[in-house]
Amino acid sequence: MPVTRATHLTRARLGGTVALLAAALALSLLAAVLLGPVPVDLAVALGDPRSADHEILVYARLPRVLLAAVVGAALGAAGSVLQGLLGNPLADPNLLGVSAGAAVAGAIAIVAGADPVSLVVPWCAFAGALATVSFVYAVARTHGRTSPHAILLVGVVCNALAASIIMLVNALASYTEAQGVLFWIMGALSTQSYTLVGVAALYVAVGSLLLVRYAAALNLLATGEEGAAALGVDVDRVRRAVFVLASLLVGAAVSVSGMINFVGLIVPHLLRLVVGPDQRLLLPASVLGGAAFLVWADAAARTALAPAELPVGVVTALLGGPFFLYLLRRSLRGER
Amino acid sequence: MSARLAADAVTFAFGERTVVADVDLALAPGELVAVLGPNGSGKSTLLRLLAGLAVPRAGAVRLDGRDLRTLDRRTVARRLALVPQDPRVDYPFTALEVTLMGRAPHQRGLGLPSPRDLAIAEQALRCVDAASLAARPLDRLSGGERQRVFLARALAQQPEVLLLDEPVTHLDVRHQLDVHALLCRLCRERQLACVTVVHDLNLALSYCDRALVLSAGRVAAQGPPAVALDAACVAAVFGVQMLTVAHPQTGAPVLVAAENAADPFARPGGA
Repeated sequence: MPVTRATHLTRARLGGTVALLAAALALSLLAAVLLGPVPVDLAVALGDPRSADHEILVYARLPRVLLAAVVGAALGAAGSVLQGLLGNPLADPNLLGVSAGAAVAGAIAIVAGADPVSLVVPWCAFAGALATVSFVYAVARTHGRTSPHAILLVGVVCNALAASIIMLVNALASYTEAQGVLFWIMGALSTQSYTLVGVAALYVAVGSLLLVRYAAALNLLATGEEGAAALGVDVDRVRRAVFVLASLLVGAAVSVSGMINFVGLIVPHLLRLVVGPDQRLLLPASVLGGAAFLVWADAAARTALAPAELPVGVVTALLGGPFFLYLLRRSLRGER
Repeated sequence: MSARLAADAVTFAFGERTVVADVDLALAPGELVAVLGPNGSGKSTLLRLLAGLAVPRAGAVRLDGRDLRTLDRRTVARRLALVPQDPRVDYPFTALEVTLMGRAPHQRGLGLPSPRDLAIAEQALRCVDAASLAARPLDRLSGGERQRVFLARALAQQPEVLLLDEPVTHLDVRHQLDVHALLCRLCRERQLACVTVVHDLNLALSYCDRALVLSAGRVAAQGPPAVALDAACVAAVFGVQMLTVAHPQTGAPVLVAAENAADPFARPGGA
């Protein structure tokens, strides 16, 4: 598909695009807090702190919408850098099994007695994500290259393994523990405390900002490991840093919302068609775009069958599954 | 003249298989050296050793007297550029974006291009006759066009040493001659030290200052191209009968294939 875009990245284009996407995200947040089974009057909600509108807006909708934004930002950023690092437009934290690895570690922590909203779970999820991404990479890599199809196959195996480990953990756990784990993994966004949203936001902000440092190196890696090394990139260091930071983001996302599929795949891919492949722009764009995307997906999940509520993971999977198949067809035909 | 880049008895092996054995090469500023040899004779590995991308099992490669292993990659990249054999890019970066990547070792932080970076990159694209490709995504270019863009990227690095792995393989005849003329000019004008892997013996004869012929990882001959690439050496290394004739216009030596040179049954000692 022909796409017209500028020949190279300039400060003005970077700033302009980021500002535009930030504005789009702000509008999405505003629209999403007003959407829901019960209509909310913004003027009343802001004017009267004792009104029901205020109660719904500030304590029910806003933390949930913010959580959706934080999780979407994390998944968008992780997808963007993993696609860049692995040179594979089909790479995604879920397809690679990274989210599943995080979920396994988180589930074990919960069954072992950790409070699902404590800080122990995010760290376990982070460790699980890091272990899985390192494993997938080690298995799929031969002769200094990672085969795009091998990495997806290893991801499939990791996902299946993780699913059976979670079932095993659940079989060994008590009924209530198992319920908690299942609910957590299903990929649901629910109303959480501002503290939890804040902690997740902190992880995601720090992780994303640190990743921007590696954006230029990721561009060079698109020309191969040797090509990047010949331009002065310490390839091993960049790879380690990107794996650790992407795992931090995925661990944070999974620990507050379970497994939400395809966000990390769709968002960077669509944005690449618009803003180009340069990670210095694509990464911040994927952070903002991922946040906006999940905010809207969650709004759809809350309103489509209102008053019943869909898990947001259902919405993203219904959108992402067909999209992935379309991308796979393109890649099999040798297009990009 | 002292050597800018020097390989002292470098040896490299993949496991048990030795691919480069005991190669000496001293490259002076302004010198253009051709590396030749049959497929699998270790040419690309030698280039990777010279670039510091492979670490020699024995011997050392020195840049202005300093062992490459003691220099960090960025320092090396500011002074030494490599054009890979089969350049590819995973995502649709434009030719200008790829060329600007050559500025990376000179940049800090995000590495957004300064006006100077942009001027250098555009100049480099003009050098390789690719200015008109600047806005085109690389995956839409032909193999030869991609190769020229990667040469532009190496030029944008403003290196003192330029290493090229078969830079003209995918090029049409005009661009083959253009690239070699450009390399000659850069060596003369900017005192660039240049090593290029070529398959075309006559390109080496007419454009290079020196030829290094590899056979099974060892130096079979090294010296002025007309001396190193005599018919006897070509027969011994490539197993092909060739004749040295005089160029009708310049009188310079040119290699032409002998009758039946490509017939394995006609080769001396052939099957």
